[in-house]
Amino acid sequence: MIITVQIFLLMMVLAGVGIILFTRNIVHAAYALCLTLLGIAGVYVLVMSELLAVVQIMLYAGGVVILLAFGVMMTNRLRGEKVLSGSNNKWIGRIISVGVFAGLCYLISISPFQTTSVEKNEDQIAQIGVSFLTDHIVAFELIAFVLLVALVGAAYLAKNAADE
Amino acid sequence: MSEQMLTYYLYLAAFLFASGTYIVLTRRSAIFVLIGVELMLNGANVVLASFSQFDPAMNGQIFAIFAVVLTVCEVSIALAILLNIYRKSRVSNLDELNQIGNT
Amino acid sequence: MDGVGTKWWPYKHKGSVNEVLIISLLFLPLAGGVFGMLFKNTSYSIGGIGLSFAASLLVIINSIEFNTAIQWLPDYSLGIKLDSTAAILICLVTLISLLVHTFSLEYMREDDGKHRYFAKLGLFTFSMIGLLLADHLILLFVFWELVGLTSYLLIGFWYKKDGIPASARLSFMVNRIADVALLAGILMINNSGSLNISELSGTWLFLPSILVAIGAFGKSAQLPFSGWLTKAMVGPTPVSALIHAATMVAAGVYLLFRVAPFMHESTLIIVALTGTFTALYGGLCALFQHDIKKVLAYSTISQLGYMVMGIGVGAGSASIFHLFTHAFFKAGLFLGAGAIIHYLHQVTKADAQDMRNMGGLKKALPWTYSTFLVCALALTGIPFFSGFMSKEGIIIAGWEWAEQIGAWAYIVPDVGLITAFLTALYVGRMVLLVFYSENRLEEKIVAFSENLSLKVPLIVLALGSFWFVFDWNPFAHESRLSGYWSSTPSHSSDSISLIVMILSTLLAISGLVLAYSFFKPGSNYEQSFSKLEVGKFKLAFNGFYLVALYQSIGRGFSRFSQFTFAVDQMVVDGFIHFVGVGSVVISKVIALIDRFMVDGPVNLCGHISAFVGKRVAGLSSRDIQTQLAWLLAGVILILSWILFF
Repeated sequence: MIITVQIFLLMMVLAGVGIILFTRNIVHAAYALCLTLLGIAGVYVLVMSELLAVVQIMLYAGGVVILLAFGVMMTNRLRGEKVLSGSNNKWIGRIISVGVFAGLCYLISISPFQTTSVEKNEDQIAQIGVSFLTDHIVAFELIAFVLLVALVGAAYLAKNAADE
Repeated sequence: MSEQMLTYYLYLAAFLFASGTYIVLTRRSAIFVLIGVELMLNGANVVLASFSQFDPAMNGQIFAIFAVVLTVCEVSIALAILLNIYRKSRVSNLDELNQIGNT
Repeated sequence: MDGVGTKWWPYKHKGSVNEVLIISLLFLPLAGGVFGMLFKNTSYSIGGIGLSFAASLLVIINSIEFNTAIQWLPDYSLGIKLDSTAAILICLVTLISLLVHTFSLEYMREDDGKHRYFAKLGLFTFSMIGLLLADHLILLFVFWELVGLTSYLLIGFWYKKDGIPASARLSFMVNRIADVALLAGILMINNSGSLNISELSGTWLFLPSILVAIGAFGKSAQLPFSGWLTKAMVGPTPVSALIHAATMVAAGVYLLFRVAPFMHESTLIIVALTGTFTALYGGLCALFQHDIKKVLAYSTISQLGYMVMGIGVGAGSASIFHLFTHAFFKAGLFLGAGAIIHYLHQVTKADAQDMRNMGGLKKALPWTYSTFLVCALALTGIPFFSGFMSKEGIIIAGWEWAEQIGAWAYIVPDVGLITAFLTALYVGRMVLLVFYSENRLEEKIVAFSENLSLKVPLIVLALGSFWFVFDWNPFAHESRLSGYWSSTPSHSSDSISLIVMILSTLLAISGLVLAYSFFKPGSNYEQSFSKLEVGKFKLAFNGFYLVALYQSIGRGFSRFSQFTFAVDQMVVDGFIHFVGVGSVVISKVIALIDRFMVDGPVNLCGHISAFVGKRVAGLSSRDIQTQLAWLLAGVILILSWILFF
């Protein structure tokens, strides 16, 4: 049963990535990104990272994609036309990306992973919350700070943009 | 068994990363490049998450959560900058953006 | 008397009478001639010669001998020697020269260039005496050439007339060709020791001997070099008397006499045969000439043949004796002819040398006639005259030589006797046609008072042609003077000498009788002589076309030299041209190769650098995506390096 889910998710991810790779339409690419992200969220669930899955859906699929969509809409002059984008240096890009992929695969294939079986943890969110505030408190605070800065900065920049 | 599963997830992550690289290297539009960056980061997150299933403390997951948050910040700032540039010069192609930066 | 090896300028050793004597002998004639030309006074020349003659007499009387050397190079000295042979011959040369000088005083009296003439005569006498004094063969060669040079100068004396420069050149050149052989022979002998005649020893090889003999043949007008002597008759007649009768042509005989003891036997046989046939040739040609000087020239060739024949058969002293007597009577004949020519020049404008214009001169020139007759009889070899004695000596020697050699060698004395007959024939013809019968000229001839300076030499020479000068016995064939040049008395069997004597006398007398019968006054031949054309005796008249042969050889030679010049131009210059062009071509090819093969790689390196540089410079592009691409490519490379190496 799990294998079915895995295959479904895999297909979702692959489909999404495929669209992004082969389309010239930015809007299509943005929506395909949404699809991909949702698929990856499912993958997270399969690897027992529930909180991450939820975060992914909320932030990525819900936030980033919408941001991208708005960005696309706002940075194009013409209305009612497809927003197309061409590509440069396709062959170089292909070679290098294939090279990267091949290198990573190779590395993965020769690495001797050893896994230990871990019992299932029911209460992940609580545990993660606790570790946020005990083990990773510094990172937590810093993340909060970064969020603040980002918020202020985006607001400022948007303000500038809005003034014009 | 789990190792094999793990390696499949890692292959998936590698695929995501490679396709993200392709998008970043190739596309002209800035937004498209942002999409590619998203893909790359997601690939890294998949790696983190797939390793965290063997960790009782779930450090991988936590790391991935932080990565997601940071990514969101980065994207928002990047879009804001892009909007600013577009407002100023009506250009959203990376080629022309390069030239703007150098003139 | 100084020994060998002193420096030649003797004035450091004052009081050496002998050296002063010798120097005066040698240089007085030259000095006299030169001063005579400078001061335009002929008495200088006469004085110079006269003093030189007196000195030579002193040498003879006091039996002075002299032996010294000139230091030519530090280790090489040229010998000068005055022995009895040279002394007596110097005496002869100076006497004849003195007589010719005297004769020329009248003969050349009205000639504009007479001072030049006397200077040249003085130069000649100097050269001849030098030749006789020389002991070293190279020194002798130097004077040999000088004598040839002065002969050329004197033959071409009237150089402004047509044909005379060419004749002079021909004489000189034929001599020069023979002199090349002489020099070659001398140089070959040089390898085997000293070149001083008094120091020669042993027997030479065949080749040097024959080369020296050829040199002597050229000077003495033997076959095949006889052509120049007839051509030399275009000069003044006294010159012919001095040079081409008495002295220069005898130089060849003198040289042969000196070196005969050292020559190869085959050479001597060749010499004898050459002399024999030359004598015959001269006699035949003389018979059919109508120019009086040419008759005398061929006669000289013939008599020289006798002398050379004498050397060849080993009778050197007989040859020198004949040289002596021949000098007297031939010079007398030439001077007599000169007197006739001189007289006829004053009477007529026709060719004064042509016998067809002469005749009946017995009454007009009595002294000339009588002296001429005496000398002519001496030439024929009648007893009571000097010529008989010397010619006998040669023929007897020839006979004895032939006895030893073999039957075929008898041709030498036999031809000698035949030539004696021919001699008598042409002499008789000449005398009869010139002096007897009526004159064939249109102008009338009258008795001509002969000038003293013409008469005295003629008389002296005629006196020298009688027998008593040489021996009291008119039938002898040796003279008291022979002691001067031969150390051994010749021994001959009396029977042979008697036979030869009788035979030659008979032949001579019969020749004269035959000539008389043909050419006596009033005979057919004599009457038609004035209209004589050459007719059927063309071969002998033209001297068997010897001169024409010389000229055709000369032409062929110049054509050959033109051919070699053309070959040189084509082949040598062509080759050099080809080498030049070829080197230019090669240099161009090398330049090409250099451009391609040397510059090419260098340029290629430059291009590679530029290419690589451009490409590498493109790395730092403005395009961020390209930079990213390079970045990732670098990461991959490093990764693969780490993984696989």
